[in-house]
Amino acid sequence: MLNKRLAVVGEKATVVAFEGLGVAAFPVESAEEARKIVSRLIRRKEHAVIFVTEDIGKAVEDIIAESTKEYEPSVVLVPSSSGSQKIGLRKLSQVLKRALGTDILKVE
Amino acid sequence: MKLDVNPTRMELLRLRKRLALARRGHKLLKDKQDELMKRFMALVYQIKDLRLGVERELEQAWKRFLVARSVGGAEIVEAAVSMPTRRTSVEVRKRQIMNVAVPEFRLATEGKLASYGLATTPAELDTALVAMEKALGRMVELASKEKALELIGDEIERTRRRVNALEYVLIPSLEETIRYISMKLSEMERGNLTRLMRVKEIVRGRS
Repeated sequence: MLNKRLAVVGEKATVVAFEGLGVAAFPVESAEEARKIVSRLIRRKEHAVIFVTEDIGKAVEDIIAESTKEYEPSVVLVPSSSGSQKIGLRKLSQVLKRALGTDILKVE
Repeated sequence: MKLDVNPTRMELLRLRKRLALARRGHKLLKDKQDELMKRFMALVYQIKDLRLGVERELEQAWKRFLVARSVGGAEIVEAAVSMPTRRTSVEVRKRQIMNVAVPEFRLATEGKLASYGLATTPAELDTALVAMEKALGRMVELASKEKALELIGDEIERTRRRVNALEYVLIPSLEETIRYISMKLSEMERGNLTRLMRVKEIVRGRS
């Protein structure tokens, strides 16, 4: 059995809260920085679960899409403090579309 | 499309065996695909509900944290949470679903949750952290399930390709080739018969 750490990537005001829980926080300020950090985290596989807040989720959508075929890590989009933008659900319907050929959830 | 083979009886027998094998493989793969699909659909609905719940829960927790931040001051609160004694990790366990290796995460925490001076920080921070930790447990559950869904989805796609390749390419072409060989063989048979009859006629005419 293996113990691995968790990571949170997002805007600073949002991710510091997770730092208090002992989760590795990676504050990012720009889209490029987000892309760099997320792709490095995925490649290194040191963290089993990477939470990405939705406000930067748009900037790294393609990087996350590539990671879905890997066994690890699991990249999960979570809403930021400004509320859910349904990007997480959209990613889910993309997985559905690839597997089934149609989208059965119909997220607008 | 017809395969490129010699129209012989040997070849015909070989192809018939291959066709039987291809049909059996197709049936097995189809069954696998159906079962994968069943698991997949069950997961989809679980995840949808779980995700909506998690998003709601997390939003509540954010709100509490923001309140704590504005009550206690951004610097004080951020300094308080930036040196945690709490260590959070996940146990990763491998599980097999229909021969697809899927990781399963379980949250493991150690150390105290509130490791800051209670006098200088607002009480709201404590409740915010407790709420966030509760949300985190469900987020990790969501992470396992979403990963499982992604991996099963990938397997479904691969299986579907193989099923389709057998159903629409290999099996039809085997059938066509078998038909071609048996036609060719009976054509040769008829050719042989007429030649024999003709030869016999010639022989009879001479005597």
